[in-house]
Amino acid sequence: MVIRLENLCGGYGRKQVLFDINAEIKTGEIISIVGANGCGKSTLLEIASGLMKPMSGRVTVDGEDVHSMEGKKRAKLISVLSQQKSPGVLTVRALVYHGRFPYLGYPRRYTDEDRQIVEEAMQTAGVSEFADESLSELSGGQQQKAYIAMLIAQNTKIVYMDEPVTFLDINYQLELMNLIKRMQKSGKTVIMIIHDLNLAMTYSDRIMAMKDGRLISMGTPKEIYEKGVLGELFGIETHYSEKENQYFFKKL
Amino acid sequence: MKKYLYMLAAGVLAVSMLSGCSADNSKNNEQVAEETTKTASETGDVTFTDALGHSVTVNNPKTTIACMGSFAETWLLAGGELAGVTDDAYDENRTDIPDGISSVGTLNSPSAETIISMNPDFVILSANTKEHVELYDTLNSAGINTAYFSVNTFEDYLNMLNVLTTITGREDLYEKNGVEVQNKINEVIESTKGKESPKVLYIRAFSTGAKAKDSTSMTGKMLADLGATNIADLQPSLLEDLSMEEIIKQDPDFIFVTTMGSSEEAAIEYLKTEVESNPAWNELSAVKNGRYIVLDKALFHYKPNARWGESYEILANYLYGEE
Amino acid sequence: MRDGVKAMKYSQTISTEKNKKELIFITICIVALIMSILLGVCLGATRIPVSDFFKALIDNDGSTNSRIIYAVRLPRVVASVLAGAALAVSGVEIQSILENPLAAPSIIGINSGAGFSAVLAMALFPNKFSLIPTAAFIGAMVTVGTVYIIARKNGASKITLVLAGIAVGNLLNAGINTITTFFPDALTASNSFKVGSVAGITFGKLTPAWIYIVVGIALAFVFSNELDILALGDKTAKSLGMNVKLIRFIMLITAAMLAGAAVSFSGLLSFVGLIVPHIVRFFVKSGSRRLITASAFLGGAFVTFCDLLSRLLFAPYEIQLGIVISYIGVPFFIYLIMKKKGGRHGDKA
Repeated sequence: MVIRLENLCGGYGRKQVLFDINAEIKTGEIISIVGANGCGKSTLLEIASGLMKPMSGRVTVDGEDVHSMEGKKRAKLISVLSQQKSPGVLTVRALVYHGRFPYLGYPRRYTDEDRQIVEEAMQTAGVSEFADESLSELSGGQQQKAYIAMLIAQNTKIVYMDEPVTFLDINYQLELMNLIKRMQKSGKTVIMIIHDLNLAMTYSDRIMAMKDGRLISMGTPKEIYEKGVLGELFGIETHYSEKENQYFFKKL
Repeated sequence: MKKYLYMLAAGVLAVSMLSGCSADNSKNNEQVAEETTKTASETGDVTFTDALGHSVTVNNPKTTIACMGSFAETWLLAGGELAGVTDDAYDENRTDIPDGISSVGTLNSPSAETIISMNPDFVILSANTKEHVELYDTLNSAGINTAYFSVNTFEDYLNMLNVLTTITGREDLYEKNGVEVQNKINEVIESTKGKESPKVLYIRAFSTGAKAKDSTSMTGKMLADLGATNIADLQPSLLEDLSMEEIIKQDPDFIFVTTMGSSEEAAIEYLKTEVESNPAWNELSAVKNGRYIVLDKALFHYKPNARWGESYEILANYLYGEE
Repeated sequence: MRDGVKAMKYSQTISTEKNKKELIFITICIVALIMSILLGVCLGATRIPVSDFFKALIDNDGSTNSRIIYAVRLPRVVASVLAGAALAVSGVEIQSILENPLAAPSIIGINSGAGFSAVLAMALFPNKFSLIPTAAFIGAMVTVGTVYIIARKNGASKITLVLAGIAVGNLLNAGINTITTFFPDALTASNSFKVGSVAGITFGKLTPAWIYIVVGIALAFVFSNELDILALGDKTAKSLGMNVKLIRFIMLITAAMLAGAAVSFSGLLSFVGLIVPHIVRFFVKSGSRRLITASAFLGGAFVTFCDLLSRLLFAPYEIQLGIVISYIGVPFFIYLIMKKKGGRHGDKA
């Protein structure tokens, strides 16, 4: 399966924010989009995931234009973890059940298969023990895991995530990154916006580096490192420790 | 799914248009001219057309309810008996309704239930009171015999008395409380012919305001019949805005006041503080000459009914009496 | 892993214990509705035994009690139930659309729109009372349509809807005051409309409003899943494959239809659309399907009960329904809010 971003231009109203994005993403990759604030990452994610229409250009999956897909068909192929959430008093389980919405027919009855998928998704995401709690009463990390459980229940091959671990405590950050790795192992392609460069460089197969609405570089962490892309983006020094197999950063 | 939704939406729209056309079945409750034609048959059935245009048939009613004090009085003047009245019948300014009649609520909120539970054969209501008109459907569907009247002038009262005395069979009371009063009124009006027409301002005051009334009002008509010139007829803006400027310009010879609302004192108080406090007020001829007159509520706000002649007489005395 | 959830498949989304509590609450709402109907028909200025009520239902024999029931009480009770259910369900929808449990139908201009057209009708056609319900309904729908069109330029997001609703509402209120200034008789006529009352209602006046209400509640029920997802936020809803714009539009129109129909015969009863859903939310958390069901029953029961009080307290004098609703609803609501602050989950006592 191949995702292609072809000559993508996008923005809000008259304001153009993305300029001529071209990229190719293959099955099972974990892709991190990095860049300074305001570089257009969120816009790119919204357009690529089908939430917003591009100004010109297209996004295709195996040749089929994402924006001409019917809503539910697209929702069975692509799922999105947004930054904006309004949890309310919904229970975790109820939220995860909503992940089955694209598959729901008339009359609105959840099937046994739905139930199984939901329970397994909660198990995978590690939220089964508080399945009956209200979202609003959970911690940020637990909430996020619940939303990811919903995504898992939605069972899509492609998953987009907008800053999944920003604002979370470090333990949750690591837990979630591992969860994302597991999702990849189960065959999913994950494209996410990540603020934390460490996490991005550690967990991604490839990195999309953006600056001022353009994709200035796309490659493996090693390639990005060797080309000094991050230095160009952020004005920092990138270092690599072979012993730890870790990247770390210093101010220029 | 989208198709399904559009079909649903179209269906709802279709239903709404169909039902919107049928609307509800209540007739137009506009007022019709009170030409009440009546017929009395051998069996005691009296049939007439009421002020709402409905044909009403009554036969020697034993249980009658009147939903307005003035109408209750008229019914009594016609020789009828009352089983139920609204509270305004016992207003302090009214003296003619005997004590102890059951209450069916207030003038502006009569209780349909209470009325129905009393099983009346005749209910008298006002065509000019919105809440009464709204009750028509409810009372009608309960099989209650209703008659709506509209009384603004003496002629209206006379018509109503005519109908009611036909129902009670008391032609003599029609003579006494109707024709004789008419004669008196005509006398009074005759006596004013040929006299110079005074300018008058007629104000209706209540606790939160005061408005000028023209010749279409009850007292206004009396003044017009007596040959007075009502400045509100000349300057209709006074009907909405009691402008001191306008009054000074017109400088009426007489200023008459009636009060409405539950508190006469409050209305008078309003006049004192809002109208009379204006320094220009005391410069008006009417005020200087002692012709600023508060009229008796019973004779000039409520319908005077059989005392209508008195009302005309009193006004004529003010207008043309000794200096 | 299977937690033995049986009965309604819907209950899968919540635990058995919570499910039971919710079902009990819904049952209470249904019982409340039945009780309020019985009381509403049997009590009033005269007391009618329940057996007479059933007798009258089966066979209208023209007795006094029968006449009172059919002419006065039954229409009022039916009107109260319809108005209460419609306003409550409308409130649930508006709250989901605007993602705000404190929203009410009045916020998108329904009340102002209905009020404005009603007063206009009163002023231009002073004695054609039959025009008022139709005018009110049309006014409500046109206003909501206008608000939507204004907000649509911004994707009809919740903020623009509210802002447009407030702006249009204010304009219409000014319009109402203008009309009553030039047509003062309309002022007195509009008073009972503004406060809200079902006095003097007949079955004729309830048509075609009841059709809109039944259809509206059915639509809300059918789209209850969508309502829940709408409440998760636009982006999440869209990512789940829902056509957010269309659904929000349909829900808006349905809410307007419900509130507009109710207002057309009962006047501007405020509060029901706000507090009934809110009270229900204390006890029902599983989602819109049960929320709508419970709100419809509880709303109907509440308004019917208040109408009964309005007739009963000072019989044969009546206090207007809108006033009773405020006096009863607000303190009870405050009580619930304060109770919830103490406990964690706000379970019913």
